[in-house]
Amino acid sequence: MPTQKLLLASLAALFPSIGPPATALGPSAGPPNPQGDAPEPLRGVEGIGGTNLASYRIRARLEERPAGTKDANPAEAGEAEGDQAAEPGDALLAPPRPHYTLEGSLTLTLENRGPDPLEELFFHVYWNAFSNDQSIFLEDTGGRLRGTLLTDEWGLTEIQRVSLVDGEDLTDSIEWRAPGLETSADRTVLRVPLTEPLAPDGTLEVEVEWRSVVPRVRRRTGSKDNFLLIAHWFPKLGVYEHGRGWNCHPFSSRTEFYADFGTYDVMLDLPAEFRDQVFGSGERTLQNTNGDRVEVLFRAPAEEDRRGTDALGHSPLVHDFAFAADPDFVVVSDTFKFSDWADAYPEQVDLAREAFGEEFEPAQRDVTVDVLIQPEREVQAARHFRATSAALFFYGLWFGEYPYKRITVVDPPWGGRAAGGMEYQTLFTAGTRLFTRESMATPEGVTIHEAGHQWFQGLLASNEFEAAWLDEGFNSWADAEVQYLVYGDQHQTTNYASVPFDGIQWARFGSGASGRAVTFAELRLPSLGWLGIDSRLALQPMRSSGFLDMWREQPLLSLMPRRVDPRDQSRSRYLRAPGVDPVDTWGWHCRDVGVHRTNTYARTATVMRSMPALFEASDSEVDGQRALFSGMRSYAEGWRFRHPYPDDFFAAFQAGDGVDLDLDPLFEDLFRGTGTVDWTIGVSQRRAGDPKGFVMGADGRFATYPDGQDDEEDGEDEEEAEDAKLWLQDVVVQREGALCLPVEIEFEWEDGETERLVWTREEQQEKRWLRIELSRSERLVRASVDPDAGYFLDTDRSNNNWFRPTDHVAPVRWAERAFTQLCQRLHWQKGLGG
Amino acid sequence: MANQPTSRSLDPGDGAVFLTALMAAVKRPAAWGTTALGIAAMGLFAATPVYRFVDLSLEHRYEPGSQRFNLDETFWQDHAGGIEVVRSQLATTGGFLALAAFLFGCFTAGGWLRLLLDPGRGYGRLFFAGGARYFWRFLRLALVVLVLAHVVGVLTQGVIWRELVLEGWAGWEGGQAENSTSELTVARLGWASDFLHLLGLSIVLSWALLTRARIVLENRQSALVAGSMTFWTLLRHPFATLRPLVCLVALEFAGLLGLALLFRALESGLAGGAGWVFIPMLLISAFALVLREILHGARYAAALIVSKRLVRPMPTDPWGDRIGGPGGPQYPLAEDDEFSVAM
Repeated sequence: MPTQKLLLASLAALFPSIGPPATALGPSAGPPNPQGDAPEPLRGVEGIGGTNLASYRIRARLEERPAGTKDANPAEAGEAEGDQAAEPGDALLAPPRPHYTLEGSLTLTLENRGPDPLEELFFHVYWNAFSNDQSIFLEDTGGRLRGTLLTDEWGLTEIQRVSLVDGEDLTDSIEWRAPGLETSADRTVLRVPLTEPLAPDGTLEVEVEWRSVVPRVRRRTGSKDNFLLIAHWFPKLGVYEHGRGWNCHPFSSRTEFYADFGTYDVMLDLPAEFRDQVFGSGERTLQNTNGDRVEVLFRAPAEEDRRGTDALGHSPLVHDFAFAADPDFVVVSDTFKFSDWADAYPEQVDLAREAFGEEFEPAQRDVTVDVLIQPEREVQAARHFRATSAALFFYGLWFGEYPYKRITVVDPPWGGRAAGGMEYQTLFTAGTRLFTRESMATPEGVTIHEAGHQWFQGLLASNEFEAAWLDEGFNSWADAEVQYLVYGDQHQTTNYASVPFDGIQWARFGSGASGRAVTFAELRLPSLGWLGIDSRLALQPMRSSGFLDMWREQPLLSLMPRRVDPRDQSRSRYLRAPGVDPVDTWGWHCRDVGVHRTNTYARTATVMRSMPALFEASDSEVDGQRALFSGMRSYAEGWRFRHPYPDDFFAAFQAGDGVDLDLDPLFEDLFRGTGTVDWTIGVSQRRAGDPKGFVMGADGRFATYPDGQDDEEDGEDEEEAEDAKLWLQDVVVQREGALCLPVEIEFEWEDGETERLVWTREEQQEKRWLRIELSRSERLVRASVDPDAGYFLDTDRSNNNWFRPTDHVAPVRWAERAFTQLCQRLHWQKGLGG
Repeated sequence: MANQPTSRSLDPGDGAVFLTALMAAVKRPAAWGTTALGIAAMGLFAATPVYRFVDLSLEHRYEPGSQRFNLDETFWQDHAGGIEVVRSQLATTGGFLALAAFLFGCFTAGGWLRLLLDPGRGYGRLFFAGGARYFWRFLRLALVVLVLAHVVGVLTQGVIWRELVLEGWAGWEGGQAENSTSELTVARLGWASDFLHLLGLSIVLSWALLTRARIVLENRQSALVAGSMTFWTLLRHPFATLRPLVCLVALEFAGLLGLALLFRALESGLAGGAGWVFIPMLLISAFALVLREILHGARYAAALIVSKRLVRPMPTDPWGDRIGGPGGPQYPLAEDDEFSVAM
């Protein structure tokens, strides 16, 4: 018996509870789908997400290899050793730098909880997306990962053996799957046919052995020096969906993950330098040092979590395992206590109580927060903790408590930022920098967002391949709410010598080649090609450098403040591509990655943020914010530890929002349409005046208007008569775009009186404009469409208000900022001349 | 050789050079007024589109006062297109005005020096006369400054720095910062590079300042020869030449910092709705510009004082410029000679 099996056997002996525990998950209903392994979206069908349990026991050995270490390439080995062909699996080509290799074996226990027999298995082999520049992932990004063109330091995984636990070897029957496999170099999906189908309610144990080269961390996973963020690193089972078949898409740069819930018991064999310095999903339960190696056992969820149930009666499970290691980590642990935050934000607790009803118990478990921070940023550990706690409190309050005992925050090192901003269950990576203040929202913004993923895609484990907006979009909406409540406005800054200064410049001088020339940033010299010199020579007298820029731009004197409400940020990105593709579109079906990201993150968040206005315009009695949170709570509770799809969200939200409003057509428009909306309001007003010309009298004859008698009145009477005349106000509200949503309109008169009315969806569908004619003794001082500025979806809100007075100071104020900036810069430039 | 200007107003006696220089500059409103007005006029010209844009954007659409302290995010979002146009205009206009300012500097340097050397009347006339007289010489010198600035950049920021320090000393492969193991190290090396760049550039600009003073004092035609000699003087007397200039820069730094802090304190009042603070804010911005122009002039005054102490006067023939016909009595011509020729 191989050593690995012995170890696993001893593990099982050590922990008898290894294996899938009983859970409250039940099968979801859904129509049969003949599409097999290429499922198409099912619209209007609820409960199609996977229901199986997939639990893993993994053993992995990680080794550091010096630069240039090269395993035998089969082809080269064949040439070198004559006819002796290399064995498959010996082809790990080493990068030219120090790197890590990983050898692993896993035992997957799959419990078929659906009604269909399973005749095959599909696995994701994610790291092969980084094996060459023609994988589906890298082709889509032009060979770049987060801006870096990949030329070496590839990552890859070779499958060495697949077998059933009873010994049946399936290795020869495995096949790679990719669209256009014959020409595709993508090897991220593996199919394993079973000789005997796995019957409903049956259990299957499969063993997989593999080995990998750990990529340089360029996106989410890999190593940088001796920092490791090892994520989506093992062959991972796809999700079988009743009615749709296997859901196991190739790894795309636009999408993330989708997996069954289960348990993970992971034994890592690492270099000894990682002792006490490796953290993973769940909890580290065992650690043994053996010479220059250390063995570490993780259990996810933690033993304590497995034994209990959460506040909603669920047995906590997870659907992924990742780990991070770095000998330099400074570990700062603290405990999140709900009561501390409830005392600080009592109004939010009251709001939740009002929204969720009398049965709602505002309480959550204590959670240990481990912050793994880089030594030079240790001072920021407390900020990471606070931001994580903020997410635990507010998300827990709104969407149900965090069900696990620990959560780990990883601060990637310098040069490893590409590992930042990523979420795995009970462990996530943030990302920060030196010299940052809380008002800059770094690392607060990313920390809250990634911690928020513990709910959206963690507990509500939607299919990120097909409906990433269900997690990224909702999370973007919620994280901004938390940021706003805890930190307020963000201050934008400008960096000088790595030090942030509060504010921004109106403009950078000298754009384009001519601009760079006249500001002496770069003076292109004539080509010297005729001399055989093949280079573009340029003089760069005025390079940009920190202290020089600081002196010539005088930031303290010339920057202009820019404060940003974090809730507005999604709208900025939404406006980049507001109506190209519907939100509910698979990532790779979008026009481009930019549109996909806009839809997934920004547009969804913008829709969610507009929901209160929609509710309130539909029914003036409704508290829109409360209805929104009620609907989201209903969704979060109903689909906790399950796999919701968009229709599940639509149904669950409506069931819980407490509003008598059919949202189906609105959701169709908002999430499955491309319509946009821009309301405009225009006002003209004048005094009702005496007619000029001829007016027909009672006798049926025209006569001139008797204005002669006015002349005889004294001035005071004339003034009184003038005051008695009504103001005639002509208000026109228009709608651009195809999206019809009910909207409020408000008027305010000089005496402070206001009046509201609603322009309904039906009226807007009938006509794109609305004319309102008013006559009052007072002048109109303000007219607003969407007066509470609740519709973040409106593509131009600058035309939603009309004010009678106008601001004459602000234009001078902002011109002064440009003027001062220019003067400081021109003074410097003058100094160059003399 | 033309007559050599003399000065009786730039004698520091036992006092600090930089203070004497500062006082001399302050007393030349024609110089700092002209330069400040010139820069302000350019700034005003370029900033006008911002005024027009904000005025049109806010007109009747925003509650008065709501956008004074901070243009809110929806403003940036809804006017993104317009803002982009304005920024592009600013960048382009500002760029070309930078070139104009550079030439303006070549002109005003001569004006300053001429005015500082002559305590007599007719400040304005002297300023423009000086500017015109030395313009081409100073332009040639400014081109040399640009070349030297490029060299400083290459040494402290460019390929030399990358290969010697980042790749050679720090051991970052390819000189790429991402190969460092520490953000703090990257920042520190960045600061070192930035500091050396600023230092090198400051020395070049100081050298140029002293060279201009020498050109005027010795009425030299060659910027290169004057520059070489100044370089030698700088090497021989680094403290004497640079100390007053450093003092003036420190004074400028302190003054600007004080004004900036005052400006920011007032600006926060805008957030509280105090619209009146806008007036003192405007005044501070204008004063900052004037202060910089005065201190720039003071550097010229300091350069003149230092140069007159350290630079040996050129041997001149006192009879080179004279009046009187051949064979008759002849009189040497000095600046303060009043004479006329009657026919």
